[in-house]
Amino acid sequence: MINLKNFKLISCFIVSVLFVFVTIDFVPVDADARGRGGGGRGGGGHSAHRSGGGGHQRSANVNRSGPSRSGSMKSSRSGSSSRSRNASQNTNRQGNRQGNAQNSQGNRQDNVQNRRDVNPEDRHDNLDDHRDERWDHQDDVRDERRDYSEDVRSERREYAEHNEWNNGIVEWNEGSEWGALVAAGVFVTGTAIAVSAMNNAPCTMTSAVINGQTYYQCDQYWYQEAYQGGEVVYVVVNSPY
Amino acid sequence: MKKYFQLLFLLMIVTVLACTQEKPGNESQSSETQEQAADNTAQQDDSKQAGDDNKEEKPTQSKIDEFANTSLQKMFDFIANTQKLKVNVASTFDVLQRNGQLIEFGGNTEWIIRRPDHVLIDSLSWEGDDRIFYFDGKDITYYDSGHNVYAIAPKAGDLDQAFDYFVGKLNMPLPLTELFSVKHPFDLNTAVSSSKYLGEAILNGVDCDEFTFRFPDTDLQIWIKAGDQPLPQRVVITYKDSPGQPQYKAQFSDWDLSSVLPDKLFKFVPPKDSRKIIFAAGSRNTGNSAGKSEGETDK
Repeated sequence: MINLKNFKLISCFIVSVLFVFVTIDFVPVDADARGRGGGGRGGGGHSAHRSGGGGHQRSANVNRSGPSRSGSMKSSRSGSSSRSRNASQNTNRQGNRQGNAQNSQGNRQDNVQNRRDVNPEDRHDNLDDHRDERWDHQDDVRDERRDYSEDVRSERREYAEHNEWNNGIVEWNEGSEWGALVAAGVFVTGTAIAVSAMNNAPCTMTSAVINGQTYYQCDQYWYQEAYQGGEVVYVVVNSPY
Repeated sequence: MKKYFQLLFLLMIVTVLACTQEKPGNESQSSETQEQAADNTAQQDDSKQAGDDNKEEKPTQSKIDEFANTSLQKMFDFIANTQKLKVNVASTFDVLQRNGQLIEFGGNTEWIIRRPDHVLIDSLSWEGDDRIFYFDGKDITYYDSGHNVYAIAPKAGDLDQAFDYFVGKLNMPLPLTELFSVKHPFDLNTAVSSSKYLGEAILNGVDCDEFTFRFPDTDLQIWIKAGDQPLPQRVVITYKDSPGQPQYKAQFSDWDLSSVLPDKLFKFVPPKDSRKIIFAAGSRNTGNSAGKSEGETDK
């Protein structure tokens, strides 16, 4: 026997489904409804946004550098400080560990056997060929992605003022004017300027190869490309002449 | 048709209201669910309390697992004593953005080492930039495919000296160099404030032992292959003192300690149209000391 509450719930559900179906068929879905991820659009609420954007766009303000980029067990800001420890506290942990290890040994062995069946050991036979395959793969990826990378490189800023990998790179904000950098007196020898900033410089850049090194001139200043903090930047240098 | 929609819309509102009013009744019917929720809340409180306890952990209360320390030491020693190796590393790192969001970047790197003084580190980022570090005992060469540029820094010595120079003097990022160096990154007896053995695990079909360590500036979680070749299978490094506590993660695969590694592997051949650039060792001030160029070889 269907009680009143269940009947109301069922009717609520049916009408809601009807409403959603009819709305999707005849009425443009408003942003709010789509944001709630309502069914019927094949899930993936963000897919429409992504596919609708045409070409790939990357934010100019994404920061790609930080302490974790170092992959070091020492923080880049760290000195050589260390803490003392109390070695006498260790004995209990050792006992617990061995007990736990024995308990789980059986289960793991079963799992290991199962997984080894799935992952045959002939994987190692492929190691010799691996490098060649990887290079081929990389060549393909490189070709595919180089165009994309070059497109976005001028748009994105890959540095930040709060980390140590990018020391010395002149900050270039959206809307900053080249004249402001000049006024700030940053064009002294040794100062690094981001590639994106140079691409926006209001001058015609000329280049010259001298002693195997490429120099660039923009107005009265000379630059060289250089690695700084893992990124390619322009560095203000003295005139090579 | 328009009337039909209006009617349907009204009906929808009415039914939604009806459903809303039913909610208290439904909740009273599901006392089990309530209890479960209460349990969850209690668990959350407990975990929060545990988190608070961790925060208040003092060095004097820290615990050292000798098995963990010994295992890490053995891993470092084993790698240091391995004369040649190849391994693939899939890595990610978080970067805190100015709006407070952590964004993950990553890539795949192939390490090829022939001790004492040959190494090739080929990193392909997710963005498509291929950056290759070469060292042959005499010169460090760093190639960037995105810009098609390379720089050469003369540096005679072994791998440790090359890594120290590249990371320390040239201020270039080169993750995991500590792992492959002969010298250990620090004295485990003094640098580890806490260590634990979390138990056995299987990563990509490899039997591992899982450990955690707390260093002065970072936390390390590491899975080391069980057996007589204690090679790392995965590491997670947390920069606990950095804003956002970003992480570096690396998954190792295809360890190869037996392949022949000829000289040509470590020889850099400038690609077509590539440009030679310089290393600009950075300093904090954008002043006179910054951008000191190093590594020019055309003399």
